[in-house]
Formats: sequence, C-alpha cells, structure tokens
Amino acid sequence: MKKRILIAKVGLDGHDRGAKVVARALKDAGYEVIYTGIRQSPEQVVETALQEDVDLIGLSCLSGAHIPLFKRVMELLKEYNLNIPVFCGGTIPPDDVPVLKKMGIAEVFGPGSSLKLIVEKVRKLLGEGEDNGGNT
Amino acid sequence: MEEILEKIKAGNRTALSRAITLLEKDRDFRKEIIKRIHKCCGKARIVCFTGPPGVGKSTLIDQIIGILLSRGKKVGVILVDPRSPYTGGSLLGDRIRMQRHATNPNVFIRSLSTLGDPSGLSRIVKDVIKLMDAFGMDYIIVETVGTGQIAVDVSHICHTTILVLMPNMGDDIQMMKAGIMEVADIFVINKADLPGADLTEGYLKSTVNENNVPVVKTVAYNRATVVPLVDLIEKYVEIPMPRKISKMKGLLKSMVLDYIEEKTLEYLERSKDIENYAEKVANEEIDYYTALEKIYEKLTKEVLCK
Repeated sequence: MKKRILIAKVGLDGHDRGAKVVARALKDAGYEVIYTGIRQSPEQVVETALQEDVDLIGLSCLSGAHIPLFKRVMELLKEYNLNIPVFCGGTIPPDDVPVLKKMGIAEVFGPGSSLKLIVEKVRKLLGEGEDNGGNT
Repeated sequence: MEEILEKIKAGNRTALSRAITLLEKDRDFRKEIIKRIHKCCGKARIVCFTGPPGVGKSTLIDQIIGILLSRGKKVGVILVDPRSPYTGGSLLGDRIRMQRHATNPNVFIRSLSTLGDPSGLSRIVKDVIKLMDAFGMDYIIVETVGTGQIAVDVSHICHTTILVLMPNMGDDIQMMKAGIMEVADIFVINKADLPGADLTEGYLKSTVNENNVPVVKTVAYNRATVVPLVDLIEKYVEIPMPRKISKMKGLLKSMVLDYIEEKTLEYLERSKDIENYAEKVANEEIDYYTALEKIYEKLTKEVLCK
C-alpha cells in the first residue's frame, strides 16, 4: 500500500512551479501524490486531506502570506480531528521558520532546498526507512 | 467493523474516507464489509466516464457535479489515474478541475491509482461505489483512465457508460473499431466549439448508431451545453434483467480472473519459478513451451488444487 501525500497551494498565489516539481519528485520516489492546483483556501485543503485520507500534507506558498494561511490550515486540522503531519515550502524568510515550527509544521523547505533532501525528510516524516518505497 | 459501518450510514465523512483506505489495504476487510453492506446499497445511480486523455472528462464532470447539486442531489466522485509501473508512484491530478466543490458537504471526491489493471479501472472501484452508495449518495460518478478501446469492463459496474470524445479524433474507421465503442450508452463530443465537431458527429452517427445511442455535443466550461447531457443521464430507465445479468456475468468473470491472477503472482514471487526457468531457456537447455508446462504443472498443484 503506497503512502498518500497531498501537495496543496494555499492563498492567492499562482507560482506553482515549486509545488509541481516537488509533486513530481515524490511521485518518482514511489508515492501516491494528490495535487490540488493553485489558489486553494485552507478549508479546501483540509477537506481534500479528509476525503483523500492522506498520510502527509505539503503546503506551498510564495505570496508572503504563509503565516496566517498555514496557521489556519493547522487550526482546521485540529478542528477536524485529523492527525496528519505537515511540511511546507516556498519563499519563506529564515526568521519565519521558528514561527512555523511552533505552529506544528514539521519541516520547512525554503528556496534552494534540494529534492533529495525533501524526499529524505518526507521518508522520515512518514516513518519509513531508507530503502522503502521505490527509487529516489 | 460494525462501528465504522454505522458511522458511514450516519454520514460521517472521515469514516467513509478511512474505510476506502482500508478497502485498498486489506483484502479481508474488503470482502467482509461488502458482504455486510450489499443489502443497504442499490439506491445510487452509477455513471461512468471514459475516453482518451485530454478530451476534458474531468472538466465535464466538474460541470455535471455543479448541475446535479443545483438539482438537490448528493454526488460521490471516484477518479482513477495511472500508477507508474517503474516506481509505483502516481500523480493524481483529476481533482484539480473540481476543487470548487471540495468544501461542499454534498460532494465527496476520492482519487485512486490503478493497480496495474489494463481496463483502466482500479480493482476496488466497484467496492468504493458500494461504500458511497451506503453513505447515501444519489449519484456516483466514476472517471477512468482514458484507455479508450479496451475499457469495456467499466460498463459492468455502472448504469450508464459515457464515452467522451473530441473533434478531429479520427475518421469513421476508428469509430467502427471494437471495444468501448460498443458498450457506451451515451457518446459525448466535448470541446464542440473546435472546428470539426460536426464532422465527428456525422462519423459517429453514421457508423455506430444502429442502436440509436444518443450523441451529445458539449463545451465543458459552458454550463448551458452540459445541461442536456445531465437531463439525458437523469432520464435513465431501469436496466432490463437480461442486460443486468449479462453485466454481472462480465463482472464475475473478470473478478474470477483477477483472483486467479493475484494468487498466481503471489505464487510466482514466492517460488522463483520464473527466474529458474528463464535461466534454462536462456541457456537453450529447454524451449519456452516446455518451461511453461512445467511451471503450470507446479502452479496447479500448489495453488489451484489446494
């Protein structure tokens, strides 16, 4: 049974290259990746995570509004009683990383993060060993 | 099991979602839950969309969901996308076109990847349909990987099979080919605002229309063009018994074949017969038909006759 990962773009932001590249890398690493498309509200993201019963959520935001948007996602996850780990990426200033981690976001990948690192960390978040789940 | 069933019947979305995952994971759970719910199913209308990639199935379904919702219906949607035979990974992207319905409490959308099934249907689709039916959906829409000509299997598990095509997809010879063209209940020519739509309609009507199968032209993002298609879907009449039986014959046959295939693959993986005999055939010790006979003999003894 393949693990399922939701890749979601929150807020009014059309920069989807990063999210697509990460989605593709995770697909190539052997995961089932569900992509929401751009301009999603936190409500849409959490409702999608519920309907698709995913094991992990990856949020992407390059508009600068990551703090309020990701915060709302984390609140809704709690409200829905969904215990799903979350990682995020985008143009996130280093100063914001501790703020996001405090919200409960497990990993933050800023500009320049390598795909190899992202896949490795995702494996860890999903509780998988090095050689589980196909090729890297 | 009882608990999860009660929750599904009471309309708990999280329970439905979890149950679908369990269906996928666990063969015994699959059998057990279907045996228990099959009596409370049968209310939903099942509509299946198939057709080549890129003709606009997802966008069309998005519009249809909207129209059905405005008519007060509850809609379940199952989207099937391919899985890589190399990495096992998949990118499930049909949902993008219908995210505007994501937060509507009367819609439940689930993406599945094909488990290496050439018919374009994940084997558990029929079971997911039953769960959504028990959940209380009025309509269940299935979108399959666009394999086109070979996707006959889809017609066994749904009431209405809709083949979606678009202009300039080939001449009347293409339309005469066997397969999915023979099982469709409705033909849709989507993107009908492109040049060539009338010609495609002409080809369709002249070659496959001995049984008076309706042909509808749509432009998926234009709601007014899709309304007649939904009217047609809603006009559905009860399938006559002989046709129902022939559908069940098809379904049971493919289920038996699937079951044997699954068992056989398990055996082959365990026994390493393929590896052993491949070496012998490569070394020209024996020919491949002899190898086949030997493997089959062992397989019958250990799997089929047990």
